[in-house]
Amino acid sequence: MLSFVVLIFIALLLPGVVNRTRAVLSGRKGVTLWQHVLTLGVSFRKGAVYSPVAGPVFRMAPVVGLGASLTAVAMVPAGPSGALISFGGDVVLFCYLLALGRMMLILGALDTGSSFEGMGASREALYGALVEPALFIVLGTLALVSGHTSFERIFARMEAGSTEMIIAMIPLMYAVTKILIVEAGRIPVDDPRTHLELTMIHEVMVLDYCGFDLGLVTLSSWLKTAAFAVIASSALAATFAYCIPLVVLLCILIGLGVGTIESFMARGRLFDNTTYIVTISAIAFVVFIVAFLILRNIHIG
Amino acid sequence: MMEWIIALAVLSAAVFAVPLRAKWWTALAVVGAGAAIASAEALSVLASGACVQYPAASNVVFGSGFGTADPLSAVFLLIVSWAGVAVTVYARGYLAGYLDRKQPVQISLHYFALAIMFFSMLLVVLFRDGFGFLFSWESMTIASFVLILFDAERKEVRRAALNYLVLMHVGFVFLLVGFVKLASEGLPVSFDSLGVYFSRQSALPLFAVFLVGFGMKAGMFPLHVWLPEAHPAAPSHVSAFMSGVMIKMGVYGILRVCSYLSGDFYAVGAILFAAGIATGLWGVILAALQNDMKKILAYSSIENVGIVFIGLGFGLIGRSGYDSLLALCGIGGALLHTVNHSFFKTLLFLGAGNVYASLHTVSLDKLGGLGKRMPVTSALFLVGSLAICALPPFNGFVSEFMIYLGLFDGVAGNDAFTLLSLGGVIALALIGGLAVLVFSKLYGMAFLGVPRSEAAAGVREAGRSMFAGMAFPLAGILLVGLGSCGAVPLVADVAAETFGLDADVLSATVSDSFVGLTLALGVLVVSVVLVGGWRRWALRRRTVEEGPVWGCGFPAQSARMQYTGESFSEGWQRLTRKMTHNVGDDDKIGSDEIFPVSHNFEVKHRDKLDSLFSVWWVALIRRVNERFSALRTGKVNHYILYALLFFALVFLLSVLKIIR
Repeated sequence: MLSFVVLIFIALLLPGVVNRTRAVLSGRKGVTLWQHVLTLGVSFRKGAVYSPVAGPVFRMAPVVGLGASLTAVAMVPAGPSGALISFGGDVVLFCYLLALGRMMLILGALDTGSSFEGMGASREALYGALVEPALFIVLGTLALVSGHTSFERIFARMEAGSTEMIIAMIPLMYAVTKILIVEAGRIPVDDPRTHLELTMIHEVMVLDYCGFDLGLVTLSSWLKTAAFAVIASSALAATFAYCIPLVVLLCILIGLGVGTIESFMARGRLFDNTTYIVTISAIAFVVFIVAFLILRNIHIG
Repeated sequence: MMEWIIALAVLSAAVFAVPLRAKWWTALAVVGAGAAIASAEALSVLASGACVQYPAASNVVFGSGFGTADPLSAVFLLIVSWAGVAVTVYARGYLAGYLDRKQPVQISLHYFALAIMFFSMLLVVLFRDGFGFLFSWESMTIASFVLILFDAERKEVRRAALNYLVLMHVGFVFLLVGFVKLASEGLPVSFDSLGVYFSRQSALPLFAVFLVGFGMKAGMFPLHVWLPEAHPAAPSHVSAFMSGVMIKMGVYGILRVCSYLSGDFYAVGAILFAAGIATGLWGVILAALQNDMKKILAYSSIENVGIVFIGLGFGLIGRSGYDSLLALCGIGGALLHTVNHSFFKTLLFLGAGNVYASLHTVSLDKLGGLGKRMPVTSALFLVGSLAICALPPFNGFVSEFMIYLGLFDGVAGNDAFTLLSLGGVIALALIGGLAVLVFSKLYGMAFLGVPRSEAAAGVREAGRSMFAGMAFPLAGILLVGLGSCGAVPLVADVAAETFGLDADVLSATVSDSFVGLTLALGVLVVSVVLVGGWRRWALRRRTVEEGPVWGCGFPAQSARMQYTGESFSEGWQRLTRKMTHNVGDDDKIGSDEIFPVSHNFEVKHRDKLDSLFSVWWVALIRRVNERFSALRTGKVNHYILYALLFFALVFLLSVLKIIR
């Protein structure tokens, strides 16, 4: 339960950290750290507007998305106290729950019949498919180094204090952060603040959601981001001192990193995104091989 | 029991005699009786775990042949039984639109072929004897050929059916060769001889022969080329039957052959594993590019056969290292996925049938917005789509989870299987991700948005008997999906029984995984319901209004501005251009065309392997034929000369003792 609360906290905190970083780096005064939470609260107090084309799938999509994200987040531990749900192989269910949320959101976008949302849906489907192998290689690496297949046991049983493992886990954290950037739709894959619908990915899919439904969509996207941030930081934290404060600290560091990237980079061309995403798989694969070799060495030597 | 099945198969000819109104009832009665007998037998076999032999049955018809029902056959008996009843029930509504256009004898032939196909599939999984097996295998092929030809007025249907018939017989020859090889070794012509054969010598050559024969039916890469042609050509319930059940007969055959292996597990497993990865990826890559509902579903069948092969191959690889857990997860997962695929693929094809029955087209460019006009079909199709993408909480996820569990266990084990397992994980992940793309395209373009044609705007919901047929697969999807901790031990037992593994390993280590999974899926359902309830409660007291879709400030959006199937997969197409033969047929804009007139433009993404099997072969045979046709002079004296030369040749060879 503690993990779940910590994850919700990180989910609410991270967008604020990114916003603040961007504001400070660009010399603006910016909004306060928790402004986005207040904005979300406003969304939840509003009604809804639906187009006459949109049917039940459009209305269902945010609900299923949030339900799936909540269940997925419940399986991620944020410290040694363990996760809410944990069983062997829950890493697989985690990925497929996120896929469920994604598919429902894509279908919701297509339900409006708008050409812009079709664009976003098409891109999201493609990038989602391409990022899947990277995610699974990362999870395979975690399973390899720990010998377990549930998040809780992976992080609890990882060998602490081995320098080689720390060195292997830093690029792994890098790879997960890149996956986070893709899944959360941040620069350089997608620009959440762009004003041109033609170039958006995630934002254009949810153009027609407003009020309460938009709140649901936003919340589940934050939860997803937080889950990836926690996985990335736990992988590193577990190799030397696995505790909640360190995980939270590393998550904040990831937020700072994402904010810094957004301040100094422009978004890439849409067609470069596929290269960007496939590169994550390549990085993850290299990490896997390195971890594999390290383990072999330890066992033989 | 086999006497009964054979007797009922003969009895189904009564369809021809009864009046038009009673034809469906007759077919349903015969198929229903067969299904009841077969599933009762299958359940008793599964419950007791013992094999039942039927020596007397086939003695009547096929001499020394015999059949056996073991747990593996029992699983397939169950699949065939429920699917047979489901498609027969469905056929009534689907054929209702054809009753005035077709001769009564054509309708009879259709029902008769459907019943024969059903019964021969039951016999295929029961016969161990080679002759009886090949006979029922062949009658299954012929019956399905007749079923495909239902719409024989259309040229592409005839083409697809002929293509199917030819390729199935190429596969048949391979099976024949396999059994002949057994006979030439002095063994009885039966599957059971394989055990003796495999214990004597290397299994690989004979396994390869059977793999081609069965792989042809299963749609294994690169033998799948008939499948995307034949499935769309057939009436939808026939496609459902073929895709949901008939191609599983190929999977059954491979499972059956593998169950007799006594060595060579690693080599055979590696072949199946590689074939599975190739099949799965090829299927899903091409599925993403198609713009025809049934063609997408056909390619997705290929993809799912690939997943089954990945599981099976991985299980055999695990078996080679005496790792019962990997073997059970792989083989059991493959078996469960076979069952699951029969559920959701049947549901999806029947759903496509509902669309076709009303619109007479399943081209995505002419559909759209069907969800509002066909609410029940669209809800059923959504469940099927989510299930086939292996998304929780439906059944596809359970079987893929089982395979993933084996693969991840192989990765975590950090032994000889680690890299191989990771390869499987990557392939399955990519297949899974692309399946989401494929089915969000299929569902989104057909059922969501605005209608793309006038016909689609006036579509009518399907009739009740069609939904009754669809209820069977729906029940299966929900049952396996939410009751995974019951279904998994069942298939694991069957896998253990068939491959001589220790089923307790599974219950000892991973059964808590499935309890956890069932629990987590419960949490998912509850949290979705809770969030939905919260939304409903919150919106009840707020203003919910209607407004136009955001069009970037442009108010006059039309259906033609919607994203189409082609544009939806455009990004993917950029990456896979090399793998397909892309054709764009258009009439060019003329130089004297001052005012714009309407133009047709059609894009097709053809399988590059199509040409491998049709053009290349045919050209070769034609060329050889041309050489020989010079001998065909039409003069009798020449022919007598040939006969004389032949005798001289035989004489010469026997004198030289080359032949005896």
